[in-house]
Amino acid sequence: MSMVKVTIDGRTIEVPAGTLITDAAKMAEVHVPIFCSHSKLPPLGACRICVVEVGTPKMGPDRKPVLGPDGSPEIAWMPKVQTGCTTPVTDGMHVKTASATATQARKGVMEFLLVNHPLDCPVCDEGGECQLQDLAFAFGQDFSRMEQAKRTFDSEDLGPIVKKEANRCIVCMRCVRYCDQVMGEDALTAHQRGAHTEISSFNRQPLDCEQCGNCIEVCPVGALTALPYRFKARPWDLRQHITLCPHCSNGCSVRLGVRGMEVLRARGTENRGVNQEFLCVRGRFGHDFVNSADRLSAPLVKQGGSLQPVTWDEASAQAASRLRDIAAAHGPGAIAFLGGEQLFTEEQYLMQKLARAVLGTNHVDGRTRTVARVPGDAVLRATGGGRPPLTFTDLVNAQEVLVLFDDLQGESPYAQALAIRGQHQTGLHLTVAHPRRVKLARPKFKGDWLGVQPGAELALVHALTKAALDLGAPSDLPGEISWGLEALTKSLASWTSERMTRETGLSADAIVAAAKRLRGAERKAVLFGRAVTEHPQAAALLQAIENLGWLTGALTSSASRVMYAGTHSNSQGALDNGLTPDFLPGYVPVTDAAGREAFGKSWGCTLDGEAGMSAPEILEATAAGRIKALWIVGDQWLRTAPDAALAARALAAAELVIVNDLFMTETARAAHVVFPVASFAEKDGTSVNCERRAQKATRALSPKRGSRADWEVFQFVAQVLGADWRYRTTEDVFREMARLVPVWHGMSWASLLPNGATWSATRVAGSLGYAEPDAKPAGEGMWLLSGGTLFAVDGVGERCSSLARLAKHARVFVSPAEASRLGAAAGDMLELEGPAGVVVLPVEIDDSVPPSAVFVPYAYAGAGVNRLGAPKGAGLRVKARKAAAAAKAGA
Amino acid sequence: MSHAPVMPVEAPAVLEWPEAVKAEVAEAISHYPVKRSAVLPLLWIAQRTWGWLPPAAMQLVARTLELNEPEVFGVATFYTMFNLQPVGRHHLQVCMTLSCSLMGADRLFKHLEHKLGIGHGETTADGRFTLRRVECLAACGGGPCMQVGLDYYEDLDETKVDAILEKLK
Repeated sequence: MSMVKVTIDGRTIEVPAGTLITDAAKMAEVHVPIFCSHSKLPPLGACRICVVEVGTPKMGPDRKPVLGPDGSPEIAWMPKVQTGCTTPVTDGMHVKTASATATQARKGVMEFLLVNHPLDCPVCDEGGECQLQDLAFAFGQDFSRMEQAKRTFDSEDLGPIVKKEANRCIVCMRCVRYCDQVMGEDALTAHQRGAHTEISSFNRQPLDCEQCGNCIEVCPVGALTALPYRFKARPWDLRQHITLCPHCSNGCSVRLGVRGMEVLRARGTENRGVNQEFLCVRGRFGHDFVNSADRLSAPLVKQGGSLQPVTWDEASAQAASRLRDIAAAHGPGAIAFLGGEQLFTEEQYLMQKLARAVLGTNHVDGRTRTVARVPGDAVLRATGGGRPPLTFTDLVNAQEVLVLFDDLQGESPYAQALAIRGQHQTGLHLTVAHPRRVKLARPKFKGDWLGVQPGAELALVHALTKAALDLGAPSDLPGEISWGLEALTKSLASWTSERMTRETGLSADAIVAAAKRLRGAERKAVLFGRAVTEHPQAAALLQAIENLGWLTGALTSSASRVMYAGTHSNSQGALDNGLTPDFLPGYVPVTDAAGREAFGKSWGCTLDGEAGMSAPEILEATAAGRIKALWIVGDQWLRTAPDAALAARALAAAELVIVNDLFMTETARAAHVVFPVASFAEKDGTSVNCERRAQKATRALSPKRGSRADWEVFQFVAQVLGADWRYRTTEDVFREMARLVPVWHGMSWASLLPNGATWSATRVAGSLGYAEPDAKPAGEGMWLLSGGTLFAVDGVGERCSSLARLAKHARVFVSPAEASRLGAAAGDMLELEGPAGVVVLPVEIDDSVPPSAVFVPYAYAGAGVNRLGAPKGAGLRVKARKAAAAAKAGA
Repeated sequence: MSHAPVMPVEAPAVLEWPEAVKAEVAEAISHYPVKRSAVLPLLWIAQRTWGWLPPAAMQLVARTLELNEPEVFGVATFYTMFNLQPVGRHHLQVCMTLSCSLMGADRLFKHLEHKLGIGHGETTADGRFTLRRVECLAACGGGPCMQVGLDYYEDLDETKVDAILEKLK
């Protein structure tokens, strides 16, 4: 990129050609005010507040700059001021931002912007953090020559989230453009014209959109404000802390506004975090569970059949002594640890250290939703074995993006927003493989939808791999991969175009074209998530994705362009830190004697060299009575376990169940010891997002009275069990990790600020492999599709008032064709019968659901998808019929 | 020319193009290299078909052109000649811009208000007339002027207006 020299207010800097004056000014540390300009949106020049004087070197007849008496080029100043946000710099350009002309012009613009703006700052939620207010102080004047009445509009509620006071609007169009280009929602538009221009929705109806509230965030004035926060506080009353959002694996930074002991709002922050100002509805409105009055406030111990509050000392003594008894009677292998994917990295490390070093069991698994055993390094191998990972910046700049089986709207809202912005601004092309026509697969985004048959996920990845292989394998494959190429070629030989079509239900041409696009693109990205790891054939699917990565060049010997967006905020951290039965922290195999010894030496113990049981195996073993003690950390196991009935049996059969949670969940009710723990906002730590970026979270308020952070719980119990643990803070834990765990070597909390750091020092060798897809379950019935949706989020979501209102209630989505076949209208009750049970849910008709399938989002209270039974082989089929009228009344 | 049949205020939730205009819709779209460009012609066809633009008509245009509904709404509200409320059988639009004003448009408008008993933007109870002030009708040589439906009347005064109203049933 060629660089040009530009002088702004006497400061000369070099910037890339094409940089806009406002951005160049930022680099030169000169303040140019802006309203309508936004770093994620193309220039518009609507508000004119950024006007500056611009001059370029005067050219002589010989096309050479004319030099002044002092030998420097003479500057030809443009006769009028220019908008800095739309004018790119050129070589030798001079800019004056504070000259008399520029100041005068800006004052005039400010006077116009204030023509209709009401003086209601004292009752405006934006007051105190309003850009118009700030800039009026800086550049405006204390009177107006405009004596006419101001134009007025009625205030409107645009749905449950957005409050509109159009009187305050300065028509910068940021909200409209952000909604269109970043969110892909186009829910807002400008109505009328001239002075009467007003931002609203179609026909002023409530916004039918993701309710992300980003329009509120980008509004430079108080025209759009958040209804949930309306009149709650003044910004100067709030303590603001930047921490990490707990709701998905994107790892967005949220700025919590805290007053007293109450979290009142969450916002994004310019120049901070991966997301900057962006937050989805969960990030922005999913925080009030922290304030919930239902939070547990004392440890509970089951006495005489009911849970009784006790002191922390009693609870940890009780937990420790019973764990010790069970270990003594049945061996440490009778103890298992589940959950912990939402915990901070340091806490995960202590959780598995408690299990492995103090109690001596390798039955540790964070992935409670998995239905089959998945090797602990399978995800890492599918994402390049530790090679520098795909970042969000790579994603937005990609030419081709392949989304494998995830609905990013529900699972990775920020990744979705980046894909949409890329599609709008840089011609990113999307290929979405998903049985449902999810948002990104809609025609609006001009991508290709691979509407794969439910249950044919593995078949599709094989077909794509085969198509890529036919184009010729990339030349720069590492040795261990090119080694397996021959065998894979042989295994994939059976994937003729007929077989591709037969097994996936897609035309072979579409599959070949998708593989060609991915293979041919220079900048590419492959995204997958929980739909893969929670698939019944997850291990084979992950291997298939690794094959696809190597053969399309998404994985190369130097970098990875494959991203895994896990189920929870720190799913990646859980894998990195040994919350898997077969790996110690840093992907050291449990079976590796040397690695085990190194950990054992530091931890002062001998570690078990046999891999433990994975979550689904723990489930079976507990129900069968082989595991006697379960410690469930932050997980509503009765809802998340693949088979609810089996989980209930397991909880009943276990001699000891310990639960760490914020709330009295159904799972906690079945426990013998319940530890009330701190929420994400109440503790310090680090979390690893889907970019594999470790970020530091800072606590915003002290833990609710009576609760402690999970790591403290582990430490209490470990100490009672005789371990010499003396961590004062989680930073102490991180120091130990940086010393012991390969992936964290050389890192410190300080090195993670402000925007995190990515580890890529450790390598796990890749491989190619092949497994045949399982035969589809025979027989009748509809495919059960499950997955995340935007508004509903496990457990805590239902305790966030705005999210709960938006999520409405649990329901089953069916296509219009199926609905009429079943004779069910919207709102009728539908009975779903699976191998293990029956669930009755109201119907919602949704044309994104394919025929012969039903979609039940899992995260709803009472949706109870897991009561139907665990999926096996390619998936789960259920019988659906309209429930009798009695069921409707009963539900 | 009088308006097409006036749709009742309670407009249906979903509208489809009547058979009679389908060809015209297709033709309008065929004039442009990209579909979205046909938004104005289609809004015109819709307004002619239903007399005004109920939300369902704008949704129909959005659906036909694969546009977002709010976008069509923004376009329809931008132009004053699209009726977002039902109008009477005869839409009286009196020019209020400079030439007509100088020639007595204000007086003429007051006369109409008085005679019909309605103000700007209102419709008579019998659904016969809607009265509206508009900006320049580009007939400055014949001010004051008035547009009724799609017809122009120029060099008006009270008597001439009364005669015109008499003819419009």
